[in-house]
Amino acid sequence: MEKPQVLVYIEKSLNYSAFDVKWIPRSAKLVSIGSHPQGTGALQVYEMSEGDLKLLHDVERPKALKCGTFGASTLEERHLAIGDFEGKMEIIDLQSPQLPVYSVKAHSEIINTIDGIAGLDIGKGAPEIATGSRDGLVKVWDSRQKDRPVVTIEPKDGEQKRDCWSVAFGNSHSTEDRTLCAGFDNGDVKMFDLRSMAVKWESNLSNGVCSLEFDRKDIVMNKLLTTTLESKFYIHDLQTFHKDKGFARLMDKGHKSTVWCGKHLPQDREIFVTTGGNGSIMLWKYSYPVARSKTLEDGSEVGVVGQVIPLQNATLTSQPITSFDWSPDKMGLSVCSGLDQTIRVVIVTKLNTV
Amino acid sequence: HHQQDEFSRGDVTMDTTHNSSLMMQRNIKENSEALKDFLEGLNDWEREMKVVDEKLCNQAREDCHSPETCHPVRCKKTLEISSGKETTGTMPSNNRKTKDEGKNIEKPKKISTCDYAAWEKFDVDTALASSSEEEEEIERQSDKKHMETKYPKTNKKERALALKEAGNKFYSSGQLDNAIAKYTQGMALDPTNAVLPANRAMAYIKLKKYTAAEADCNKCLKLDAGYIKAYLRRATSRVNLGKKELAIKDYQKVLELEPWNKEAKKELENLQCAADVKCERTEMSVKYDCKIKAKQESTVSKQPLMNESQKQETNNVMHQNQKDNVCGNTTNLDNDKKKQGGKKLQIVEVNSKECNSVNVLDPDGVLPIEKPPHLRSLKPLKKIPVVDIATKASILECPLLLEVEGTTVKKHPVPSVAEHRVPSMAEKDTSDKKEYDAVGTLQEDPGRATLQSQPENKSQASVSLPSAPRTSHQFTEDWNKLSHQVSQAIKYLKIIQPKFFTSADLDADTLISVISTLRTEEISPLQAAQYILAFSQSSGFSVNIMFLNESQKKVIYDVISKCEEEESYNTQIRNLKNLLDNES
Repeated sequence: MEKPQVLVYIEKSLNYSAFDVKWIPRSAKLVSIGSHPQGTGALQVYEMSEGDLKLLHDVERPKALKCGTFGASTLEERHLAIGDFEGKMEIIDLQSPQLPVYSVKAHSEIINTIDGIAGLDIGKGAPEIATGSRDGLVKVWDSRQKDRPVVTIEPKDGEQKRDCWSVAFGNSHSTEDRTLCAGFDNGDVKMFDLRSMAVKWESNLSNGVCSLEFDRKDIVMNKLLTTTLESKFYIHDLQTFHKDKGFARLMDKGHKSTVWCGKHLPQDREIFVTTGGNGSIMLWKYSYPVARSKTLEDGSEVGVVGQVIPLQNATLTSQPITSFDWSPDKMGLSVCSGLDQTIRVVIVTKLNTV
Repeated sequence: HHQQDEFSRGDVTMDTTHNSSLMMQRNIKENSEALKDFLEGLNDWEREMKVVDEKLCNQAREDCHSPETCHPVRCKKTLEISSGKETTGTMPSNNRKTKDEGKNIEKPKKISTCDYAAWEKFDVDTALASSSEEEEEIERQSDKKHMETKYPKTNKKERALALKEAGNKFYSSGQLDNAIAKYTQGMALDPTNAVLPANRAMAYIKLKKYTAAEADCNKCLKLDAGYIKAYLRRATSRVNLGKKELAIKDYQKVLELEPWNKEAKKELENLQCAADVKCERTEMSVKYDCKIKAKQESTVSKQPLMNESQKQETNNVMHQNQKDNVCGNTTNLDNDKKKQGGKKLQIVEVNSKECNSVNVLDPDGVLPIEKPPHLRSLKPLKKIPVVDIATKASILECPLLLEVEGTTVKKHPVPSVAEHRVPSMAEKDTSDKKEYDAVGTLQEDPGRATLQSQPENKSQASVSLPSAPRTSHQFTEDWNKLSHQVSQAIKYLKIIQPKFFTSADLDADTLISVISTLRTEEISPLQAAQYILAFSQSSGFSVNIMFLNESQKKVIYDVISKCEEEESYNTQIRNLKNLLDNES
């Protein structure tokens, strides 16, 4: 069988809860973001060396940290944008972590999710950072503008504020185009077109949206992977937009528990991984249908989704795996962290032959 | 540990068990091979990535990050959304809920090409003018955005500058420690910036940390040898550290670079004339508690300051430097007074590394003498005054001693005190040794000292009585100080209410010493009775008397017998006596 194997290469136990792990691009290092038991933020940089993770930096931040991204910084600088439990968003330079490069009180409540675009040579246009918070707002920041977000997306007056659980940038194929997707705890998925500053598409998936990801940020939007509670995840085909039906989507189940995270392989956008509340990792492959759109009777075009096949299912632990990140430099190398205070470097083999 | 479940959705199913086991084995082999390959590649990859990483880091540091085509920041827009609805097909053009901060330039209606009548009326010039205005506005707006966009201060130099600004703000608001912190951070980010150490030096000067200031100036001058302010600041620090020569050199350097620099000229003059000025303070030298013969003093005062060879006899040198500093300081102080908001702060540094510089605030300071025995003075040793901190009551009661010339603190002549103390002195052991009693009181024998040159007497006479104590601990301390002077002790005791002792917690020795004073004649039997009864009512009394020895008990018996004269407390005294008897 040519099935890829999923193996744990390094397992590192921590004394704090890591909520997010990210590879530092162009390096064999990773950064782990979390919170100490006493409520202060933990930020640690590890380097892979000979079968083990060596701790390079250990920084304690004043408040517990929730999420981070390198998405908006250049390859030379590789500043990390982090969101903390009090709603502060900071961009820090890992070489001198005590002094943030940028700092702003972004939200009044915990920043649940953060995403960056136009850094790391991915995406075109101005580098921006999007944050989604429990206060129901989604804000877009530019590190050149102090204190004020460039875009604020908020519920209308009188509408109930729903916690925003996930944000994702996409469609950044030109300097003007950009799309931001936000997923909320009631199952809402909203897509905003930042060029025209309008809501492009809304949908409800009936379960809280744990994670969102476009298959690629820097191409015309192609697919959107959405993972939700109750072991479901969806793939929307974004190529064809129908004014009534919106986007075509498929639904699949896995993990028999909350699907926490869905991440596409940077080297191949049809392969993605989902992580579950039962501590398992599932590898999937998407295949396109013969025709990606079909014409309806009234002449309008509607999209057609393909199918997704599971390639592998591996249980690594008994606790939920809440964060996963593929290494952008080595295909098959990944890191994940879970509620069991462990970070694991996971190897997936045979991806090139899949 | 992990399990691997092999899904087989729509895949090859095994025909025979034999085949299947073979397949399994093959799979396992393939898997392990694949893994091995991967892992081998991984180590190499790690090494490669380390190299790449370092290269990128270096690039980041060196790069003078010129923002090539930095896209402008988006203008702020607020977008309102509604939750819970499944509204699809909201095409941007139909559903624009935006609040445009942007330009609302009215576009003139386009004239169609075949509308000749309209074209005839068309005014080219105005159209041109308006269109160029439009362009200008657009440019201005984008320029504004450009200017507003603060390009990412990720460049370390820029950040260092920002920190410098922050530090300057703190400095001007007087928060010097914060300013220093900011400068330090800036220096860490950009070690080539000469302004940061110069500014930090100024902050240190204000905080009187002259050695640090000098070090910073050195750093700054290494980076920029023409930095005038650094020379000036270093000179100031050096003057305050006592490095006069080096300070003079710095000022001269400044005048080399900027001959018109007034400050440098003035300071240089001061430093140089300080040597020449005939010290009014030659008398001050006498007041120093050193063994200096009169002829030495005179020779010293004549010798020029900058003579290094004088550093043979430490005594002379110290003396001289004291004078120098004193002289220099007086002149500088005067200058400061004349200057208006002078930059230079003539503040005397209290702790200096250089042992030569003396605490000039105390020109009457006592210095150790190191001289061979045959050169020492034959005069009897003078007693060293020890400054006693007196209470307000004591100051009012007994004004301070003798006026000391030249010091700014005014002191009242107190011949009366000296007289008063003579009888008490007569009681004491007038030894010639350099003793001061444990109490720290002034034991100057007035007969010996000459009034006009008594540096020791500058301190207060502790004829002062402490005020009535509020706690037994305070009483114990004050009593211990006074216990040697019986009259003082008695006076002190008298100002305390007997009631105080009922709640006082005294140890046995203090108790006995107090009771022994009760024996003296100055305390009447009535008073003695009151006091002794008060003591007996205190909580520790019974415990204390258990541990008294014979002589101490005798003391109490004496007091009791004295009190027996007093009738009003008879019964209580008798009770007390009984108590004592029981104990013994």
